Amino acid sequence: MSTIAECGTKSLETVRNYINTEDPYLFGGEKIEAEQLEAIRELFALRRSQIRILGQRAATVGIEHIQSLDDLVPLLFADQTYKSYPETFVKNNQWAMMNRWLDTLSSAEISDIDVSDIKSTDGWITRMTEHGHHIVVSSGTSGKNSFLNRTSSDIAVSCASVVQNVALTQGITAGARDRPVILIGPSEGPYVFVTLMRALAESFARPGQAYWLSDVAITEADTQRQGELRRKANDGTATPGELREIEDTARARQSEMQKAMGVLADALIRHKDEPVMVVGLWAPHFMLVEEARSRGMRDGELHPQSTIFTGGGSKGAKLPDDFKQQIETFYGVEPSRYYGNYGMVEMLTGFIECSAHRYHCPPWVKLLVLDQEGENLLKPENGHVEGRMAFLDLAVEGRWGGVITADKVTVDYNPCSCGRSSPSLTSIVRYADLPEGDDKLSCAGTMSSYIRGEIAS
Amino acid sequence: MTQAISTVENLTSLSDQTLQVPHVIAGKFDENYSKVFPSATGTSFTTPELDFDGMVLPRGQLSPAYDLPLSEIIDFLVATGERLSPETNHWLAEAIEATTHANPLPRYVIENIYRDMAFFFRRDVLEFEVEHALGIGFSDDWKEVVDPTGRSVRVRAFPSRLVQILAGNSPGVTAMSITRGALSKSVSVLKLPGNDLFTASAVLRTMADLDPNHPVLKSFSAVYWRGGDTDVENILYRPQYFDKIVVWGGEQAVRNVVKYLGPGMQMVSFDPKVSMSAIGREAHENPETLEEVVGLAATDVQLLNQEACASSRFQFVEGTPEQIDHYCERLCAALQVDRHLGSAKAPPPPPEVVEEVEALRFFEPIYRTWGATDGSGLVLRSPEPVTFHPTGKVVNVIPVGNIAEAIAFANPATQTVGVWPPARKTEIRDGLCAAGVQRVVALGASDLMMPGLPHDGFIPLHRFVNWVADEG
Repeated sequence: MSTIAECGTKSLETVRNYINTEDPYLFGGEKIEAEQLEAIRELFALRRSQIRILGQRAATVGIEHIQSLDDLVPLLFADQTYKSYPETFVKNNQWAMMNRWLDTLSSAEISDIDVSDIKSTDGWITRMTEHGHHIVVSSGTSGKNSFLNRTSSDIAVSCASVVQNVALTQGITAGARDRPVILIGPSEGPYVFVTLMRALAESFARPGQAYWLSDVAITEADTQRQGELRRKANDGTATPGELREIEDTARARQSEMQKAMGVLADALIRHKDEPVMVVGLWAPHFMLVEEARSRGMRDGELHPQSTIFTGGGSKGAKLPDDFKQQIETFYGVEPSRYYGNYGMVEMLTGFIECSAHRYHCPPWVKLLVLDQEGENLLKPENGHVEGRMAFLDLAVEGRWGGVITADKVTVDYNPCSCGRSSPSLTSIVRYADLPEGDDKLSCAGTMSSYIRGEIAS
Repeated sequence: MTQAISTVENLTSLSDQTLQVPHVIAGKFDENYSKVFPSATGTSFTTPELDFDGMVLPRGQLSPAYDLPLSEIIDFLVATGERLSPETNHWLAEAIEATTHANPLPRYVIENIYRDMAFFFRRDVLEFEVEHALGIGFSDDWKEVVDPTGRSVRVRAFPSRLVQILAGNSPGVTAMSITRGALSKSVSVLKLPGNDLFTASAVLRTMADLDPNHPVLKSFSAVYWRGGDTDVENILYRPQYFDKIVVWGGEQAVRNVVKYLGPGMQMVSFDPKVSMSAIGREAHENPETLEEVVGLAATDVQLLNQEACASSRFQFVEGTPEQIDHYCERLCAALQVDRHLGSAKAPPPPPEVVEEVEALRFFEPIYRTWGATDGSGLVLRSPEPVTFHPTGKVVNVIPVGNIAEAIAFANPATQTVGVWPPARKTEIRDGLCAAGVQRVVALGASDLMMPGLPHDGFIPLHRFVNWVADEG
C-alpha cells in the first residue's frame, strides 16, 4: 500500500497538517482554496490507480487530470456507492465476494484475506479489523448497510479530531481526565462509534470514572442464529415460530439492557452535582433518561456545565415523537452544552457548530455545492450558495473521500461572527423532507414491503 | 383540430408559470384557483379550495344515477368514448399537453395511452365487465332469487359512496376508474395524483359537452389534495360520508388509507405489485423465434417505461449458459426500440440501482450486464434475483433449469407472470398462484388489464357496489 507520505504529495500534506493546529476551523479563503485544489489533483492521481471504482468512473467520464473543481463533480460517489454490493453475498455468507466488492472501493488490497470460516457480518467486520481495515457500518433509511473502509490512521485522525472538537466547543481540556464520563454503549466491539467513545473516555474521564453500559455477552453462535433468522424473515421463508423466536430474543436482550441501564443511571445520579459528560446515540440517551427518572432524578438536576454528546438517528428504536424534547428537559443544560456538529460516516471529521450556530468546515474537507441533480457545481454569489451538499474529504486514506450527500445546504463563505474564516453551513435540510417531495402515485410495488408483512400491519 | 392547436398554445405559454388544475364537484367545474402546490418536476400548479360539502352526498339521498337504467349509462359512456380522440377533442389535447409537464413518459406514449382510453368505453367492453362482475339484473332492480330455505329474497348491487385514489403512472387508470364508478352507479370522489392532474377532468368535460346535467356526470367529483394530508383526509374519510376507499398503490398511499379503516369503512386496494417473466428453452430454437420472444419480453419490460405494476422486472430463462447470454444480448437490443407503451429512451434508474449495477460489473462471469444505466435498457444476469428493485428499464435475467424454479421467487407481491411458450403456463400456474401470484399471461400480453377479469385477486367492479338484500 502506498501511503500519502510515500508519494511525496506536498499539497496534500500541507492541507492535512491543519489537523494539528489548535483550531483548524479558523482557516478559509483563497490561499486555502488554492492549496486544496492542488491537494485534490494529487489525491486523485494517487487514488485512481488504487481504487478500481474510481478508476472506472474516471475512464467512463474521460477525466485524466483535475483541471478545475468542475472535473471533480462526476468523480464523486453517491451515498449508495458504499452499499452497492448484492445483498445475496451477505445472505449466502459469500464473504470472499464481499472482500472483492470492498476491494473495488478501497485504497489497499483486501481480496486475499481469508474469510472462508466467516458466518456473519460481525464476524467479517472483526476479521477485516484484524487486518487493519476498520469497517464503518452504517444502516441507512433503506435498511441495507453501508460498509466504508478506514485505515488505522483514519481511525486515529477521526478520534483525535472528535476529542479536539469537543474540547474546542465545550471549553474543556483534551487529556485533562477531570470528569466522570457516562458512555451509553458497549466498551468493546468492532464498531466505529465504540472507538470514538473510547477516545472520549480516555481523554476526558477521571481515572475509574468512565462508566460503560455493561455488555450483554453474545456468542458467535447466537449471532449466527440471529443472522439466519433475520435472513429468513427478510425473504419471507421464516415460520411463525421462528418469527416468535426473533421477538423473544429481542425482548430478553431488551430486559438485560434495561438492567444495565439502571446501573448506568445510578452512576449519573451519583455524579449529578459535578460537570459530567454523557455520550451516546439518541435512543440510548432516551433510555438512560427514563431509567434515571424512574430512580428519582428530577428534570434539570444535572450540573449545568455538563457536556451532552449525541448522535445518530432514532431509526429502529421505538421512541415517542417528543423524545429529543424529553431528553433536553431532563438534562436541563443550555443548548451550548450539547456538542453540536454536522457530520456523516463518509467524513472523518465533523463540521463544528460555533456560537453563531453555523457549522464550520475544516480545511482538509473540500466543500462543494451542487445543483439538486448533483451534476453541476454552483458558484457562490456574494459569498453565499445554496444547493446539494457534496465534499471531498482529503484526509481519508482507506478509500475515496468524495461523496454527494442527500442534504440541501446553504453555505456562507464570508467570515463568521464567531471569528472563524472557514466556509460554514447556515442551513441544512434533507431533500427528502422538503415539501415539494414526491406526490406521485404508481401501481408498481416492491417485493420487500410484502415479504416483511408490513403492508397490512 | 384548429381549435385544439390554439388551446395547446395558450397552455404552453401558461406552463412557464403555473399549471391550473380545475376541480370537479358533483359534475360542476370549479376554476377559482387559489391554492398553489409545488411539483416534484419543478412546474408548480394551482387548484381551487376544496369544497368539502359539495363532494359528499348526504346519506339521506340516493345517488344521482340510481334510477338510471344501466343501458342508458352504457349509452352515455359509449357516446363519451366516441369523443375521446385527442385529434378532435381539445380537452384531451390540453390534458396531453399538461400531462407532459407532470409525467416523465415521452409525449408519444402519453398520446398513445390517451388514444387507448376509448377502449374502456367500448360497448362490448362495458357489457363484458357488467356481466362478469355484477351479473345480469342486479343493478337496475332488486333481483329476486329463492334461497335454500325456500324464501324469496331480493338482492341488489346498490350504488355506494367511493373515494377513488388514482395512480398517475397511466391515464388508463383514470379511464377505468370513471367507467367502473359509472357502471356501479356510485358517487365517486376521484383523488387526483400529482403525476396525472388532467385526465379525469378532461373526460368529465367531454361528458359535460354531451349533457352538462347528466346523472353520471353529477356522480363524479375530481379534486386534488396532497396525498396523506391529514387536514383533508381526517375530515373526509369517515363512514358517514363514504363506504369504501378505492386505492391504487403506491405503498405509501395504501398504508396511509389503512389508518382510516374501521367498521363501516372498507378498502378496495389495487396493491403495488411486481411482475416477471418465465421463458422456456424453446425460445432458442432458431434466430427468428428468439427475435420474436425478446420482442415480447421487451414489450412487457417497457410497459409504461417499467413504471407499471405489470411491467416485467425479473425473467427466469431456461437454456445453456451460452444460449442465455445470447438471449440477454438480444433482449438488450430489443429494449432499445420505441414501442406503443414504452420508449427507446426512458428516465434512468435511481442511483442505488446504478451503483449496484456498476459494482456488479466487477463480478464477471458470475454476474454479467448488457447495455447501460442511462435509461436505454440494461440486462443484468445473476445467479439468483437481485435484491434491489429493477426499474428504469433494468431487467434481471436469472438462468433456470426449468421455468418452475420461478415459483420459489414468486410471492404475494407478484402480480403478473408472462410465460413463453404460452402453452407452458399450465405447468406453473398452480404453483405460482399458491405462491401468491394473481395473473398468468402469455409473454408480451401484460399490458391489457381487461375490465371484468380478476385484478390483484378480485373482480373490481363487484366490490365497487354495496351488495344488499331484502329478505322474506
